[in-house]
Amino acid sequence: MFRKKQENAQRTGASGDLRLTMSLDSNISMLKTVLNNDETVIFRDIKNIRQRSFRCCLVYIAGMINGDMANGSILRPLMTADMRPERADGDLLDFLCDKVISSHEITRSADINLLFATLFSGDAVLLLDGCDEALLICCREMRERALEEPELERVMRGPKAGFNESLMTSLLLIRQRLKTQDLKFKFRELGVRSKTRICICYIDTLASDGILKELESRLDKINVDGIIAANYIEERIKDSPLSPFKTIGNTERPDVVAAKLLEGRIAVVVDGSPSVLTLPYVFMEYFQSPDDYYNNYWFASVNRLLRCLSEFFTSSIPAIYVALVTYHHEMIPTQLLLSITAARQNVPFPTIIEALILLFILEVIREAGIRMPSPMGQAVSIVGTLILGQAAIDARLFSAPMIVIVAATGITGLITIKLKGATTIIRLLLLLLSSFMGLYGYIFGVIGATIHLFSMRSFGVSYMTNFGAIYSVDLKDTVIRAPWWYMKYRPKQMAFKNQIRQNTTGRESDS
Amino acid sequence: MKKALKRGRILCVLLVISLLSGCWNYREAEEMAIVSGIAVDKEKDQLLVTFEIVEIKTGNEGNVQTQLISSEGKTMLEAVRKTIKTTGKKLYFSHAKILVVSKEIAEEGIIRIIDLINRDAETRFTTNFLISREKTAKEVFEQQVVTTNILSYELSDMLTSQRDLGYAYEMPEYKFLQELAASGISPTLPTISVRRENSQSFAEISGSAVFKGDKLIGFLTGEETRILLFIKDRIEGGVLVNTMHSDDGATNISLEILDNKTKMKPYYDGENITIQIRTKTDVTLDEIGGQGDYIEKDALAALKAAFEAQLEEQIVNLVAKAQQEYKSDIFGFGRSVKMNMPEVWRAIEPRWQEMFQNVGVSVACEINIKNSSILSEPIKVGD
Repeated sequence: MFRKKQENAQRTGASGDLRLTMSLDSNISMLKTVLNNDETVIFRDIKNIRQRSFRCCLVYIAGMINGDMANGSILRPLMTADMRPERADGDLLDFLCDKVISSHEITRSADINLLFATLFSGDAVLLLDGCDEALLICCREMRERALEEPELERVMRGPKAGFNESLMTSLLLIRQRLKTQDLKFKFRELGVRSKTRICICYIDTLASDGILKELESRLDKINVDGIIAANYIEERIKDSPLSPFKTIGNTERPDVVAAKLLEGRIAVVVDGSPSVLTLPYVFMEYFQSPDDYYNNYWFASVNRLLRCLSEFFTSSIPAIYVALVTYHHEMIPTQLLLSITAARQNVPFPTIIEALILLFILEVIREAGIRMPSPMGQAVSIVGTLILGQAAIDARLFSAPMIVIVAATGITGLITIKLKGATTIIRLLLLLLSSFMGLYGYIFGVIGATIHLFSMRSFGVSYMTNFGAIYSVDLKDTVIRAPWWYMKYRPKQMAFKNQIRQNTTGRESDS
Repeated sequence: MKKALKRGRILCVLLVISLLSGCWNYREAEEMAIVSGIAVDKEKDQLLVTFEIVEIKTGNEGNVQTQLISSEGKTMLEAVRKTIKTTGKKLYFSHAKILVVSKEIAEEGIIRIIDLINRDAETRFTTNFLISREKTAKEVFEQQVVTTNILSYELSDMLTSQRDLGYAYEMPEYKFLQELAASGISPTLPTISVRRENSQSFAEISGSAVFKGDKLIGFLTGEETRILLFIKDRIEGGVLVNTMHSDDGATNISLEILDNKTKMKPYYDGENITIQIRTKTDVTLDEIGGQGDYIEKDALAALKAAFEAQLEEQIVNLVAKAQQEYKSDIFGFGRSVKMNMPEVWRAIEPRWQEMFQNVGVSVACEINIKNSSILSEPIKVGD
């Protein structure tokens, strides 16, 4: 079944043996046949005021070209220019390119595929009578979203601009931050039908050649009909495809991409998606926030630790609670045990069922918060807080400590939001294990997760880089964020070509 | 295909494991009766065990009350299990903090009671042991609670707070067993009695019970217990009181113990053992019950000498009492010999029971008065 689909995709990709001829009419009718039933394509016939025999046709897609530019730079000159043979000497196409049409980007081509590509990107194609080549004139209308701060990656202090859906704008934002000839942009096209342009960005002198080669070879192997968003690529090329953990990062912030490029990482920008892929991606990056680097390092380190702790809490609290309450009563302080026991009197469900139901509700509220139209937000918060919180306890459906546990789980889970998917799965796994075997099972789960994490790699870089670090150098940017003047080296495994980030600092005495 | 089959098999095994492993000690919190304290009495040839069970009412934890449940059995465990007849819930012992044993049983030997506490997985090593001075141990639990809702926990708090008094001490199970098992020391346990005031009665922890082997042979008063703690270097606080006589008349003075260090050193002259006990106590002069100025240099020196002499005398008296009356080495003199002179100990160990009675003691107490709290003068009375 898959093979069949692939063949299909391939067939539509090629425009076969279509070719432009010398006759304008036959060219137009050929295009009209290929583009039949596509009424957005406009064929605009143009004649010249001085040269009666001059005929051409501007083909473009309604709404995609810039009207002013088409009118003023293409149509008017073509209509009014002196095209008499004595003036228009030499090759007519060259004459038009050089002396008539005032467009910053203009190509002549006989390639029908390129012609279609240009047309569908929003540029205009000019067909001339008596020429088997067409002029591809850039006059597309740039329609894009303003550069807003990405919702998921807000910072307190630092640049606020985020990528938008336009590839060129995204590249521009990266280029603005790294004004060096070492910064390379390599384009390629993916998707037989979508023909999505993607761009691999890297800094030549920092990024590892091996990783770049590996990335390119993986991209080469992608053969699909459409790439709509960055994850279409991410999932197809990531290491450990079955793992819930990401081995390719993504960000909507140009400053983050620039910083990662400076660490020797490689970025993949996908047209139509504000989310830019960065790789290799290691586990610790989940806990890094751009704010860490824009704020005082003490504060940043505290926040990092907080994030790590929160991740531990959100994945483990329900499991540990269930293990303690159902197996290890001796580990609970007496007073706490008494209040838990009091709270659990007359509650109909066993602790584990209570935990599962409440976690399910928590996830439902979270998902509802994303899916629902925003005017309904109030309803969810009322339902969530009042009904599920107070009323459920009053009705003795759930015990109060369990609600507290689940609430704490929910809150701490919001801090490392990118880890959300993996956390939910790990949490459930640990919970089930500890409901079967108590803390014994919990430890099993933790060991399993640890082995899994340590066995992963992202483009050859071990996923848990620096987790078993012995030297303090390796710990500078992990659970703490060392002062900038102290981070003299780039990450070893990615930027081994050029390790030294800085030699001196602002204050000479520190170096 | 083969791989899929293999994976399927592994999955099945995992599933079965997770289901079969079952819930070998799975128990919801509300399904157990939490025992806070245990009292053991003797009834004919059986044990009468009384459990203080925490009864939790629905709602907030303020509603905690306790209930006493008694049951009989030849052994502890039998009595424990027989409670199911009345409670319906299985007793849970991990939060039991107190074990009160009646005099009668302790005199016959206490191992019969504590083996279960020591052996069972649920009971804690830190359970505090008490010996009841009353007729039964059970009646201790029938007394009124003062500051909390659960008497056993209150007793446990009392024992902890005793470090500021010194009339009793915490004797958790593991420490008791250590002293019981060690050669050259006999164990002691704190005692509990009932104090009756008008129509009310309260449990009171004071004094200690002297053991020889695992059998109770006598009691020490609270004051004596404090001296015992001095010798054993376990004093952490408390008050030294003495009456000073001067021209103004008698004045009672209190010293508050801040810190104490006792050193025990044995000497052997080939025939007799002499133990040198040296205490070094830091105190503050906390109360002067009169107008005499005892803070002034000479008076202070006299005060110090008086207190030192008093302590020395008390120590000598207590050692004499243990040697003559109980013939039980509750101070660990033997252990000190064993640690300092192992060869000597090997030679004298079989004879230690008799030798102990003739051990000579030399006591030197040093009391350092650090300050006189926040005042430097006695209260002055004008005309």
